[in-house]
Amino acid sequence: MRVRFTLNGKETHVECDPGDRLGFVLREHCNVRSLRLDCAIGRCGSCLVLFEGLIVNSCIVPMFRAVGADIMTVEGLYGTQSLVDVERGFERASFEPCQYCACAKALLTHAIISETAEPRRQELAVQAQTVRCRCTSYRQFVEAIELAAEHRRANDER
Amino acid sequence: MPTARHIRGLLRTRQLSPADIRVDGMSSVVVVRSEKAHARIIRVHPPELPPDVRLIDGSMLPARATLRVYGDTVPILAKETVRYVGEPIALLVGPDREQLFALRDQISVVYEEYEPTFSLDTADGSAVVATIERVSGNPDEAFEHATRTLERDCSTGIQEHFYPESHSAYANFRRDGRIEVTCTTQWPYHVRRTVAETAAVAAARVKVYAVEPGPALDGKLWYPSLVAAHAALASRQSGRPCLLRLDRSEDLLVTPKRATTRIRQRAALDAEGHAKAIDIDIRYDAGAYPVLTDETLRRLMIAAVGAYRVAAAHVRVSALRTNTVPTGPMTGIEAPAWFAAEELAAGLIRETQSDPVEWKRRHVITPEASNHIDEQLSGRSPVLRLMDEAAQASDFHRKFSAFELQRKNRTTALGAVEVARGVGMAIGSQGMGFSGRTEEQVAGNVQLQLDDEGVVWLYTSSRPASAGLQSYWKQLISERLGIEPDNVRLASCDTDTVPDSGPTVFSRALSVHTRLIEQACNAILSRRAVQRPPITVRRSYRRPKRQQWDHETQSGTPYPGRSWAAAVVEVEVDPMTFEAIVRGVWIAIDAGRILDPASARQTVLSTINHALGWAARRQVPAMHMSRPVETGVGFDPPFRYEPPLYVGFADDHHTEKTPALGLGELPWFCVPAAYAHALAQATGIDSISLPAGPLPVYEALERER
Amino acid sequence: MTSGNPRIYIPHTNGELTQLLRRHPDARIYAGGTGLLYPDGVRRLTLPPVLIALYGVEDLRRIARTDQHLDVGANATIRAISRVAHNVVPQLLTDTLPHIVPPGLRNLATLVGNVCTLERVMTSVPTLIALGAIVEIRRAGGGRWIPVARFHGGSTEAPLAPGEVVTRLRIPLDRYDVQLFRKTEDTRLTMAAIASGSKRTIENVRIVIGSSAATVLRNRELEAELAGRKAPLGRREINQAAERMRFAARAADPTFTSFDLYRIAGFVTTFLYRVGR
Ligand SMILES: Cc1cc2nc3c(=O)[nH]c(=O)nc-3n(C[C@H](O)[C@H](O)[C@H](O)COP(=O)(O)OP(=O)(O)OC[C@H]3O[C@@H](n4cnc5c(N)ncnc54)[C@H](O)[C@@H]3O)c2cc1C
Ligand code: FES
Ligand code: FES
Repeated sequence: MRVRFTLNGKETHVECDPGDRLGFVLREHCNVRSLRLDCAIGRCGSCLVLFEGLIVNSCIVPMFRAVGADIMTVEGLYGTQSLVDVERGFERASFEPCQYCACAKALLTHAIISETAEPRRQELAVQAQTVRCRCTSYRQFVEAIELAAEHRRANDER
Repeated sequence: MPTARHIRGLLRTRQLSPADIRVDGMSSVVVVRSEKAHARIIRVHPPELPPDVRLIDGSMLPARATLRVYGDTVPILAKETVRYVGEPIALLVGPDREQLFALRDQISVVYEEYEPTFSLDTADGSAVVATIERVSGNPDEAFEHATRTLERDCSTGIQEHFYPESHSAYANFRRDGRIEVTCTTQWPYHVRRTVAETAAVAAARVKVYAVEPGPALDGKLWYPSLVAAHAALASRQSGRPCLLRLDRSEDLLVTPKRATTRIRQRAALDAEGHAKAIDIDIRYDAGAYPVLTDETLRRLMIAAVGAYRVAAAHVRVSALRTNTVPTGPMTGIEAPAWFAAEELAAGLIRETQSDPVEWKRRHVITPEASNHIDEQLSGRSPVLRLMDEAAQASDFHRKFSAFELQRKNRTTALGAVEVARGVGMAIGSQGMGFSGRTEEQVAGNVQLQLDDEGVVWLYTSSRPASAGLQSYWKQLISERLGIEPDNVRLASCDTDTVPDSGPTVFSRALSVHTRLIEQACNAILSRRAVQRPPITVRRSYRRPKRQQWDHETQSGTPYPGRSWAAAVVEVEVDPMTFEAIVRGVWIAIDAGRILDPASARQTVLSTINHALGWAARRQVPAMHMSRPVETGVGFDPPFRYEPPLYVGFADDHHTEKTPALGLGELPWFCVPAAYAHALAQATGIDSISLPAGPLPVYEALERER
Repeated sequence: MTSGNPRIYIPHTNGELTQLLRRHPDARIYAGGTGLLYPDGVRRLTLPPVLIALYGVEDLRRIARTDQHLDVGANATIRAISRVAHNVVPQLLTDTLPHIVPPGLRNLATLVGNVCTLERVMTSVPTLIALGAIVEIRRAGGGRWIPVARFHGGSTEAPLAPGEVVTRLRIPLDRYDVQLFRKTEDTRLTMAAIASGSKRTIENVRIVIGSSAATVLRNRELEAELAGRKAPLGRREINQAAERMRFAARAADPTFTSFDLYRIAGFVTTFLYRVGR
């Protein structure tokens, strides 16, 4: 089937199977490199995208559902103030994710701070686990999100 | 500390891994694996293959081709006997990966099956492939005269590395007879050697481009060489560039894990309950193909008595061969020995009804009183101070007394309505580099070049997981040579460009390579005075004079340096489910000079999480069964919510001259034991094995009832 | 290898939905799809031959509250419910929501989809049964309400007839004195309980245990006996009740391990201990 959707603000269309995973299509057909398919069972969060503005594991979204959808990846944030806020948050928290999950964590942070000006710590503790990882501390990630939110607020006030 | 620029870079990297490579005419490779744990292959029946698909089996390998890791060997493809479920038997190569999977399902293999061994408990003496033994003092006599003996028996579990990306390798056998390989590895030159042997070409004709593995926890030490060898063989046979990529589910089933261990200890006690001698027997499951055996045995032997003095000790460590996946190594190889040593200490503390911290203070090794290998501690031992710091930060003494009281006053066993709490302290130490004199046999080369444009290039095949260390190297060079930071660059990590720095393992990047870089800087400084650029210097590892190790007697100073830590863990046990919630972890560390506190802290925090996971949760499903991996196992973090973690560095007494020591493995050597002690206090269980999840706690309580 | 040529329908109104169901009574309903689709390699998800997706029906996204109950539409995601949660949603459900799916799936997975998965007792089910939740079922030309308990009550009759769809979940907003939820780490057990009463007398108790089997465990006899007793209960009464629950569990499901039974008893003990304290 031919699926049309918006990817990072641009109209896109691909020829694919209705059951193809959105994550797979974005990587293989749309050359999106910021996401990866790792577990492919909806657990690890390395395939996160913003789907209609919401964080979603793209490995379990079939392409038929992407018809007409608005999809965003980290590539769509390049050059935006929001990504700068995220980067500053990571830097100030001394939070250094590995190259494999950095994009997923950045996108998640962007989504959280765009939705909630002052996210609650307890809620963040759960949300941080959207990207499963054993090699950094979730607490440090939570700190990074909080500091990114702080930056966003400071920018908004200006 | 990561800079904004570094983070920006992370978010803009286009090619992460070999799995991203797309080349015209590229073929995919799928590995055909054994479905039997122990068998002889009689016949392989492939289905009818399309013209563009090939099946490559062991008969197409050059006779001598094997994967070798310091004396241990692993077959590239099984030729006759298979020893674990998932062992590579053959390769399918073709343009369409999905089609290859379908074809793989149609291959039938006829086996003659043998009895497999899956656990240390069922393995008999013939399974022992190597043993190391060390006797100090006169333990036999002490046991003869003992008033009584204390016997302990514990085990530790398997663990998945859970590196950020599953294995993959790309190989291109070019018309001119050269092979290019791209893979994610901690040991580029090992990949080169293995590929060269597999493809029957000279090593110099193989160029390995090494992608940084990220936090791989030694899961990317030797296995990438096997994956790369498969890709290279496929490329040689098919004449096409080939990409081999394991999906995560396959990766979880067939790649190495942390070895399970079984540890039996005896202590000869006098009338007051003091240990006069100990006897320790450690056996670990090396899996179907033992790898890095010598080093593993020695590290376990050295750590077997922990950080404590003993008058006499008999320590025996054996590697057993079973029919599980090859199991080594994983960072903190000697963690089981540290854990067991602390468990034994807990037993002795109970025998003498001592205060745990007091007991530890009295028995810990010092420069005057050494351990069972006659190690010479240089300077004063930082352990006492670290214990004090951890105790103070965690309010250990008050909590310990309060929780003792709580347990003693509890009228019923657990299962009552109130939560049970406990707190535990343990100490551990991390040795730098390979142990004994092995480091001398391992390549450790670093090259520095000042070019005629004033740019300094660092050539090393070592890629530490922490970007913090790489930044530190650049900063160090920039400061020593007085060169703009932007003019210090890391040369591309491929084997045509960088020298062989050996494997990035056992904190070698920090403890060995950093020192070589310093030496190279000094050499450039003195040559710059008399010579015009370009100036190139190369430095190789030399054993420091004060590190004396006698291989015959297995005694002396095993590492050129050691870092130390004391950890406190507090737990709360849910009386309904026996699930333990970690309420806090406090760790005090002396790792020499801390180069970058933020980076060091992040490293320690992540290892604490991993170590807690190993201590508390089942990490992988039973490995010998050929069924899909249970979803979730391995993906879940060790705890629903991460506990508060406190990291303190005791480095105020160090100077600019004090060397920096590795600390990334330290939590492995103390956090699990501290967790176990805390759990023991909360539940009243006497002896704990890992993982100490809810079920083992329940079973232990039932047994003791 | 391919998922054949599945027919996919995406209605936009309740009317269209029921009409489509009339024409394709055997179609599978797709809500968030997180429980329906399973992998076919890394590339693809397996789709059923005929599929009706709910996400186009705006009306089903609604979460509405009256004095007596909370209505949750079939398209309302776990995340959407979490966001209205605090003080509107019963504490027991608030405690349950984080345990239903991993956080990244919460924007897709629906609560109704969780209830409608029949292969095993899903995470929300003991909670919803304890809260006395009911669901609205629609088909072309009609509708009815049934308790959630009917989905996992062990009846041989399928709760949904061909051509039927669940459109709403209704959760009564009663006042409870004690609410307790536990999902064990090994995911073998999901347990939920509520109690209410007045003037130191227990009026209402519900204890619901879910396991990997397809039916929930409840001991109505025990619940009935506990109602009317004075609170707090004495230690002996509590132990006896826990023992009876354990016994009922063993009789109901031979796959319970002794550790499962122990944890069930532990849950009942802790819960009853809190009643009136
Ligand atoms: C990684 C992962 C982890 C998970 N962990 C858990 C867990 O811990 N606990 C748990 O309970 N579940 C878990 N699930 C399963 C699943 O995600 C949840 O059950 C989820 O709530 C299902 O909601 P959905 O909207 O995605 O339903 P769908 O997948 O769309 O549907 C589920 C089933 O219900 C039917 N259905 C859905 N809506 C209706 C309706 N309105 N009328 C009639 N039938 C309907 C569908 O036909 C299908 O059979 C997990 C899933 C994944 C992928
Ligand atoms: S690949 Fe999608 S969650 Fe793991
Ligand atoms: S997966 Fe990237 S830091 Fe853990």
